[in-house]
Order: sequence, then C-alpha cells, then structure tokens
Amino acid sequence: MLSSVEIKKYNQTSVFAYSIILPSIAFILIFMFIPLLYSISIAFQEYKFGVPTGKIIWFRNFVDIFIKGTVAPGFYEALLVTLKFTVAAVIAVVIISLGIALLIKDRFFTSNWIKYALLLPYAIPGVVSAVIWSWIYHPSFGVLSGALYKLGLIKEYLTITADPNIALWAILFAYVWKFVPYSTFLFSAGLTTIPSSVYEAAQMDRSGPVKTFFKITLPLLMPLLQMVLVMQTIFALVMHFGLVFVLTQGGPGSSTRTLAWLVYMESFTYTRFGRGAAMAIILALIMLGFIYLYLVVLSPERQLKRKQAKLAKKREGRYAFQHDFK
Amino acid sequence: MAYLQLKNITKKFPGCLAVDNLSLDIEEGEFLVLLGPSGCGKTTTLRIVAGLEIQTKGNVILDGVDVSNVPPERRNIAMVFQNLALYPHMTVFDNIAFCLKNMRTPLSEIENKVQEVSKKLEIDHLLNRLPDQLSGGQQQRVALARALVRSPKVFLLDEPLASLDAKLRTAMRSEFKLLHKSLVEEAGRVSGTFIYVTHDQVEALVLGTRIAVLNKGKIEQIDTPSNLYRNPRNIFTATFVGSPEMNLIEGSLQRVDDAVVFNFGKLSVETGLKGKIILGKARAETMPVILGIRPEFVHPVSLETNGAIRGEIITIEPIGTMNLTIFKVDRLVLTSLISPDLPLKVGENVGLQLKPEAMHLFHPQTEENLMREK
Amino acid sequence: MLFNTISSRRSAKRILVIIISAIVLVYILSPIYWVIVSSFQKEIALQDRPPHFVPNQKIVTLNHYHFLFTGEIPPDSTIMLQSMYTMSGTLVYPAILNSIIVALFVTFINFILGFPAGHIFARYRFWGDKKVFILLLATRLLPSISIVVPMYILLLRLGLLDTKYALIGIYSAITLPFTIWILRAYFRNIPVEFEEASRMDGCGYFKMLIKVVLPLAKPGIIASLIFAFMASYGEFVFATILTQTIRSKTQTAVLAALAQGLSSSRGMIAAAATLSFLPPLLLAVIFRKQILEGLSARLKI
Repeated sequence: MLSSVEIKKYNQTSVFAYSIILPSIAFILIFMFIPLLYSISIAFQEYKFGVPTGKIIWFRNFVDIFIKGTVAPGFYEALLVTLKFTVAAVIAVVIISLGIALLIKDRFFTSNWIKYALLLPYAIPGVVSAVIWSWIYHPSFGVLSGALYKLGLIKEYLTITADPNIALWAILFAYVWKFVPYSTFLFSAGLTTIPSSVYEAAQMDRSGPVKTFFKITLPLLMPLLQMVLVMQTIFALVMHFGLVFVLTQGGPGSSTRTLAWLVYMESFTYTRFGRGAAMAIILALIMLGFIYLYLVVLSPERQLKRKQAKLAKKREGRYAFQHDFK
Repeated sequence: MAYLQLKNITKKFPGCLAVDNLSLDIEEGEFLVLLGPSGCGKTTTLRIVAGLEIQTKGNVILDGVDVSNVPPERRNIAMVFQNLALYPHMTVFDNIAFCLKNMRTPLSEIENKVQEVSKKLEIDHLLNRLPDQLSGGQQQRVALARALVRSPKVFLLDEPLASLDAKLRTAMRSEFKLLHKSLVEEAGRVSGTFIYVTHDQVEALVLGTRIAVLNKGKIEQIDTPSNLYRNPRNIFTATFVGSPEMNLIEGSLQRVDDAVVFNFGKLSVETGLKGKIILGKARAETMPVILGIRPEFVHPVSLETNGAIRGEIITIEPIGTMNLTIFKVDRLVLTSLISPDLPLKVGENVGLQLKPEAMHLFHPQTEENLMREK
Repeated sequence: MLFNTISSRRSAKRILVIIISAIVLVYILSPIYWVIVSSFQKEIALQDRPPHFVPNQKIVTLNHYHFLFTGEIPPDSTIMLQSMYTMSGTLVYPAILNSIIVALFVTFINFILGFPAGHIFARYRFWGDKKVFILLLATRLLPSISIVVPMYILLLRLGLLDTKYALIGIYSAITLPFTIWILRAYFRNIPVEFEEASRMDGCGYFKMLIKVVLPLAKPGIIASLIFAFMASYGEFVFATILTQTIRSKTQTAVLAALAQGLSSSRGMIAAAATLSFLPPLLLAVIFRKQILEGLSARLKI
C-alpha cells in the first residue's frame, strides 16, 4: 500500500506527465482514432457512387464480402494472393537479411560499407523505388531484360508486369530490395550480443559452421527473430501497396490483387465506400491479431514463464539430451 | 623432445607486436603459468597454441606433430575462456556433451563420460540446470568439465579466475591444483598438461609447476615458483613477482678493505660480498648498481645497532599476519614487513638492517641480476 | 570437403565473402545507378536495345532535368519527343518542395512534442502510463488503408482536402508514436543522475531537457527525427488520395501519376525519380552513423 504522500506525488506526477504528452495524444486521437471510429460507422452503412444512401445496413457489407466473395472482385482470391505474397516476402526478407548479417559479422570493414550501401534502398521512398523498378521492368526498354538479352539468356524482352505468372514475383523482388536493409540492421545488432568467445568455444567443440548456426546462433537469436518475423509480416500485409499501384494496379487479371489493393479498389474504383471500409476493418483486424502476437505473446514476461515451464518439464526426465538428440 | 613446443613464435597485429620471437618447451604433465601484466602477449600466445590466432612466424609442435596450420578443433586441445563462454541456452549436461555429440559418439558413451566428469568436479547434481542458474564457481566447474570430457592433450586456461570474487578465487585456486594433481597421478588417457594465463602473481606462485614471466611479448624468465622468487633474473621479474614489491635502491658498490659496501645517498650498508668476486675485474673503485631487497628482509632494530640505517615510519598498514610498514630513509622510501607485535608508531625513528644474504644487485642499465647463479 | 588447414579455410571464407558481397552490392546498388544514369541519357538512347549501361559522350544530356525545372522542351526534338514530355513533369519540382515542407513541419512537431513525451515515458510512472504507451504503439501499426477512407470523407466535409495542413497532421500522428518509442528506449540508457543533478541545481523541466538531455541524447534524437522526416517524405497512401492539386501534392503522388503515363518520356521520369530521392538520400548519407545507431538501439525495449 502506498502512503498518502506517495499517492499524492503519483497524482502530481500524473498531472504533469499528461500535460506534456497530451498534445501528442491529441494528434493521434484526432488523426487516427476518430477516422478509425468513423471507418467502423461507414462499414455499417450503404454507399452508392460515393454517397451515403443514409441506410444503415449493419453487417451486410461484411456478409457481402464473405459470401459474395467468389464474385469479382473476389475476397478469397485476394486473400490467397495476399497469403502467397506475405509468406514469400517474410521468408525472403528474413533469410536474406539474416544471411547478410551473418556474412558481415565480425568483419568491420566490409560490414560498414555494406551497411552504408543498404541505407540507400532504405532511404529511397517506396514510391520512388516503385518507379525505378517499373523502369527496370519496362517491356520494351527495361534494363533487366536488356541485361539478360545481352548475356544471351533470352531472345526477346520479357513482359514482366503484364505477365500474370510473373507479376507477383516481380513485385516481390522489388519489395525485398526495399525491406531487406531494415532487417539486416536489426539482425546485425542482434548478432553483436552473442560474445565471440561462445563461437570460439563452439569451434573448439568441433562444431562446423552449419551446426554452429543451428545449435548456437539461431537459439540465441530467437527472441529477435520472432520479433522480426512478426514485424515483417505486418509490413508485408500492407507496405506493398505503392509497388502494386505503380507497377501492376492489381493486374494482370487479379494476380496482384492483394487485400490492401482490394480495399483501395472497393473504395476508390467502385466507390463502394461502405464495403471498402468493411474490408479495411477486416484487414485491420488481421493486423491487430499480429500486433497481439507481437506485444503480448512475445513479451518478456511470457517468454520467461515459458522457459521455466520448459525447465520444469526437463527436470522430470533424467537427462535433457534424450529429447535433444536427433 | 618436449610435449609441446613453441618455436620462435611471433605475432604482429596492425600497430603492435604482441609476441616477439617467443620459444617455449613444455613437458607433459606440467602446470605452466604464463604470467605478466596486461598487454604483454600472454593471452595471444595462449590463443596461438589453441589455434584461434595464427602466428605471423614460428611453429607450434604438439606431441611431435606440427600443428601450426591445423584448425583448433583438430589439435586435441581444450580451452577455458575468461568469460567461460558457456552456451547460455543449453543445460549443463548439453554444454558438456556438445563436443561429444559433434564427434558422433554413441549415446551411452556420452552419458557415461559426462557423468564421470561431472562427478569428478562435483557438479553431477546440476546437470539439468541452465548456466544462468549457477553460481560463479559452479559455472567455472562446468567450463572445466566441458574441457575435461574431451580428454585433450593440453588444457588452456585464460584467466579463469578473473571474474570471481576474492574468496571464491582462493577456493577455486586450490581446486585447480587438486585437479591437476589428480590428472597427473591418474594413469591413462588424460594428460594433465595445463597452460594457465594470469596477471595475478599469487595465483602463479601457488598453481604453477613452472612460471613463464612475459613482458612485451618476450619471456623474461621461466622458472619454478621458488626460483623465480628467490632468483629473479632482472628487475622486471623481481618486482613483478612477490607482494609487496621488492624495494629498489639506486647506489654504488665500493670496496672497503676486503668487504663490499653499498652506498646510497649518504648511507652505506654491508653487502657481505667478497670484494674480488664482483669488483675483481673492474678497475674502478666503485660500481653503480641497483640494490633490491624484499620487504620481509628489511628488519627493524634499535638505532644504535651497528650497521643500521635510520628510518622514519611514514605509515603502518596491517595486512593480517604482518604489518606493512613504510619508512622514509634519507630521501628514499623503503617497505618492510614487520610483525604486529612490535610497538611501533607512525613518526617514530627506527634502525633498519638489510639482510645481506637476501640482497640482489641489478645492473643499472640492463637491469640484470648480477648475482644470479647461471 | 578438405578444409583441414586454417589457411585453406581462411582463403575459402574470403572468396565466399567477396562473391556474396559482390552479388549483394550489385542487387542493392544497380537500380539506383541505373536510374541516375538513365536520367542523363537522351530519350532515343534509352530506347536502344540493349540499353547503354555506361553512357558515352554522345548520349549524355541534361535535357530531362532542364525540362523538369523550366518546362522547356529542347528545340531540336521531334514531335514525338515533344509529346512525351507531359506537362505534369513540371509539377515534380514544386511537389518535391511540398514534400520537403511537409516533412520539415512534421519533423519539427516530432521534436517539440515527441522529444518531451519520450522523456516523460522514460522517466516517470503515472496513471495509465503502460496503457497509453501500448495504445500509442498499436495505432502506429494500423494500416493506412483502413484510415484513409474515413479521412477522405471527413476532410471532404471539412473542406480540408488538398491542404498541406491535413498531411502534416496525419503524418505527425503517424510518426509521433515511433519517435516516442525510440526516444523512450534511448533515454532509458542514459543515466538519470545527470538530470537529477541539474534539477538539484534549480533547473526547470524544459531547461533541463534542452541543456542536459538534448546534448546527451543527440544521436538518438537525430535518428528519430530523421526517421520521422523520411516517413513523411515517402508516405504514399494519404498523399495520393487526400490531395488533388499541386497546392498540396507531394512528390510521392506526382511521381506515381507521372509513371502511369504510358507514353511519357522515360528519361524525364528517371530524372524526376532521381530528384525525388535526393533529399532523403542525402540525409541518409550525412547522418548514416546516427541512423545505424538508432536502429540497433531499438533492441533494448
């Protein structure tokens, strides 16, 4: 129990604290929360041609999305595209960035130069990079086709963004280019928390590079890895928008029509704001699910509890290695 | 041929010469301590033996085989790191068993070996714990167990006691000694050859069968602890080994009749040397030297005693069984270890006698011990 | 694999590192190189197959840039070429200015509001502090798409569509949580004693912030402000949908629109892109150390 003096101090501090942070909270409330709430109300209304008809149709927008989903523009189709892209993007970004971080670990000279190079895609705004890639992918004059042509690998210039089979992967290639630097920086910093003597001990324990990675590096990086996985998932669900807008506009066909793009289409192409808002809410809920994962499940307290439970289990078995050894 | 030979090892880092043409022979079963101040190259030398650093020049020969270019894990050497480097996410059992698992030893054999080693080091009740659930001393023992289980030809230890508190350090020191002894006496596979790096000379004196004193990448002296203490080869070794530090006085020798006296400032003490031995060859009447005498051989006597020099007590520091007493003598400061039973007070003037048998004479420039038995 | 000697292993490692580094560097740098090089090439040269990776003297030109700044089409160009220079290209330059202005305002707001707020969260316990903080983080991670629709309608009703103010407000709301998060973690790593000492010397709160905390936390503050700048500068969704005329259009929107034009001069677009990424790129180059430090300090939550 706090003494009355302490309680008074606490209240005083609270008043002071809020006086400072109130403007920031105000910005966030006004520009984020109010639109969000409004968005929810829109989702329950009917909009025709961009104008509300004044009818409140409650969940019909949602029902339409889920039931009429098979009719174009398809919700489930978009879900599939989103899933494909997100899984591929997260795996690609994590593997590549972790790989680079491992490569430059302990090599100060190379490490700095590669990091400076990685800063460039990071600093270039997403849309600008989209424009750059659209030029690279250009069906008539694009340099990607040009390089392959010169190397003799292809006879004719590729139509990249117009090919339904390749378009999504072209976006992936450009997406990875932009998002690898950030993860690489994180992993690089994380690797420095493992003392080099642990690696030396592993080396003397006859652990080759592959084994050391899986048995030592990876387990020790696990908390960071989990955080990066979740963050990259959140990014991948939304941040590809600029690329799709500039490169493919959801096409060809519906091969790059992700959920994020679907929201845009519903709202601004079909002006069915009601449905668009509903879809936006669904997307936001999916994101919130991941935020929950990120903030709660991965929180330090949770991790500690899991660790202790794991140990209690191990103590029952006489030797740990019987579970470990494969 | 010695068990482990270091031949002309040189190691250059950009901007500094860490190891300078160092050669060393180590016998099987020795507990060799590499002793020296920070930055003298002892850890670098150890790492070169391990294979974690590559020497710029020179060879490392183990049990007759030149392992200079052999990767660390194939040298059959085990190392205990300064920060122990236990795998924090693995249990004690897994930590110890890791090496054996990598060598694909059968399960049952792993079990046996780990049990055996952990029993020997008294950590067999800790096998299911994680390193961060262990005390400093226990972690230390796990690191040792991890090294021991591989039956290596040589154990390398890099300041293993540095991160422990004073009390624990003394306890673990004795354990190291016992471990070494038991390994040497045990007939069979495990050789008890230890190379131990430290900057703590007390540790070195207690643990080593031989000590190599290093300074700036060179070996100043390799000898048994007692020889090192009693017969230091030069001023560096003389002052580095032994606590409190040896007293050094600049002065000159002079022949007076048949005896030799040491003059410093206005004072003079007898050296007990026969004039011919030291000054015999020299024409000059006097010879500049630096006199070294350890504090325990500076005795307080009454002021009237013949041959005593006058000293004024500056401070008295009790360090347990003796009092570290600092005297002002002429313009010098002398340290002495005196029994606390003597009723001395700060400011008192007392007579001091320097025991001639314990005197060391050092050349003023080369700093070599002129009296050393070669 | 016979890597039995230390020297052979070293050589093998070195070769591997060089090869992979080369591949990575090519992947990372070639798009940037290519767009810069393209922006200086004559339109005709850009239509060559294969394209000129390294331009020779004959095809270098400043025409594209000239057009972007002045709207003048080179006099010796064909009618075809003339039609490729769409007038919207002249919007690039003012749009970049818009972007910079908006981003500067947002950065300023982040400094004035986010810096003290981050400090408060780092040092003080108060009613609801954990809840508010989590709320801040949660809103940060909401997708723009979900907010843009109601935002559009709201602004339409309020007549605030197509203003820089709207963008500044929204971007501030987006960047503030991030700034507060980074600074909070950063401040936690600075010993509190400095602030306590200055308080005991009679410093007021804001004076202390400026005289004591600011110098100590300079790298972190620079890093978070640069992130805020870059985020506002490069934001796309709101910029495209909530703006209509050059009054408020930022480079993000203009560039995207420009790239849509199927018959537009590619050289012009390349020049526009190069100009567009210059401001944040320069910032990244100048403040590279702070940015890298800021990204790794995030680990200590």
